[in-house]
Amino acid sequence: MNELSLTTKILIFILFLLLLVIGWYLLNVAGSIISIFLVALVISFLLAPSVDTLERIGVPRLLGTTVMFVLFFSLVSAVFYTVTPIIYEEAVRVQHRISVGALRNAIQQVEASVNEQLRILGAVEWKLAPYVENIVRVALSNILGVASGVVYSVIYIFMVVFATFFLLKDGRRIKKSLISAVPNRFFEMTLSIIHKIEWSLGAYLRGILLDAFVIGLLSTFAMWLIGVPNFMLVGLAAGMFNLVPYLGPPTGALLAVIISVVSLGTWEKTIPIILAFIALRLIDDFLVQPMTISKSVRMHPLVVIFAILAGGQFFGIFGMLFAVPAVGVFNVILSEFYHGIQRYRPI
Amino acid sequence: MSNPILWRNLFRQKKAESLLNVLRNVPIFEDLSRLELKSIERILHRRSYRRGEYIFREGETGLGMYIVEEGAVAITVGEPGHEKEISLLRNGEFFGEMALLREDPRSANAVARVDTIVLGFFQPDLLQLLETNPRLGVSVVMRLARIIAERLQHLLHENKQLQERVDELERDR
Repeated sequence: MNELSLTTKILIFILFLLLLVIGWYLLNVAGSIISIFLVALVISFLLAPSVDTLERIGVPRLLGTTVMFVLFFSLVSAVFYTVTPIIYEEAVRVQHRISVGALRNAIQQVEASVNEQLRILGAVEWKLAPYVENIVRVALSNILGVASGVVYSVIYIFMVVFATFFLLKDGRRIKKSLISAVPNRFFEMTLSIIHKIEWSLGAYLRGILLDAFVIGLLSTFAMWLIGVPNFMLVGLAAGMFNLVPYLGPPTGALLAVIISVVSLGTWEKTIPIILAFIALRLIDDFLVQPMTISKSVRMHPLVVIFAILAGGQFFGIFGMLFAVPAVGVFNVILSEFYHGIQRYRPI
Repeated sequence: MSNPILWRNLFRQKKAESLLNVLRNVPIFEDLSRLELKSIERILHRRSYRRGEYIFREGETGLGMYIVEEGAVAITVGEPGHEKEISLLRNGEFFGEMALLREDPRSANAVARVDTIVLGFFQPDLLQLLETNPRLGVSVVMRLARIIAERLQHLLHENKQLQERVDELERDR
């Protein structure tokens, strides 16, 4: 393998910084349009293998795309119309319980025990309930706000649907047209990089989403077994939080504990919930992830933590959810680009 | 008579036909049906090179093969300025087919001798073809394997002749 010269490395670094600045500018100027394209790209990556399979058995691309497209969006709509109202009702119920004071009762038990200890030590009285209540209320009102926001984003969804269809049907033709514009000198290198990015990205996205889905299902089942009320809400949240490594699973467990305490007014389910989440973590690390996510696209823990913090800082809870997949995608693109340049040495 | 769309369509059809004829004469695609050739044509990349422009250089990682649609391509070895031409390929001839199977460094340079149009057939497209149309993909791979096997047989034959010549020389000494 050829070694890159220092000048080339500096040039690549400057190019990388320039791309970041341009990307940041575009996100600010045309964020929603870019996000439509990105969401459509992710869905088309997920559906492409099934359309290819249909093509393999002789179904024309247009028909295969239409069939998979209708199936996927029917499934999503069905889930949306059946599960969303249930989740929404569960969230409303939990929010109501906070206001009727079940959470206050449970926290007051902790408060009383801590204050008992503090009195022995001669310290001042400790008031925990108002703080915790406030945090939980703000978090839940955010969830409700987001849910209603999604319902009213019909135009956005329509645009995503439209873009997904054409990316699935004409993706190869679009790619070929874009590649035809690349100068002769960089043509083979570009083709190779695009192919590798496509392959790794598809595998990565399908892997993390499948992992989140499996963990969501297992969490729902575990919470149902333990007897946590609103187990569907907890399972859904656990699945989504699973997209955030390290911080996600404990957050899911914390949410489950809060919901069980709020609903039942006691801490008795806390230990089984924590044990269930530890077991789920082990199952995920040793069984599900090795089967769903390729080793080559896993990231260093430090990068992951930094990505989560940066995502949270810039885009809030959704930033934290999507920071790691986004960095994963970026990581794949960058490493393929770097290795591609090393192999072809175009300068 | 003077309908420009009709003339344009006729011209395009003629060009498509000549492209299919070029493909029909390439050993990897010979005996394929017209429909299959059209599927192949859809995944090929058409590139234009000016006289003297390199298509690829020795040592670069290869990703696939090229077919000369129009023009002439010289296959050379050696550093720029001290290159030795080992063959000159014309319309319908192909080169770089080993890279369809392995991403190895190119063993020679390919340079356009005149303004040239080539058709590129690359590994990712072959893999895609095997995914979406395995019957056609396998028949292309089989033809490719046959060409490589013939070349290997030829090399073995040459090797045997050389060995016999070496034995003869040793006996005479």
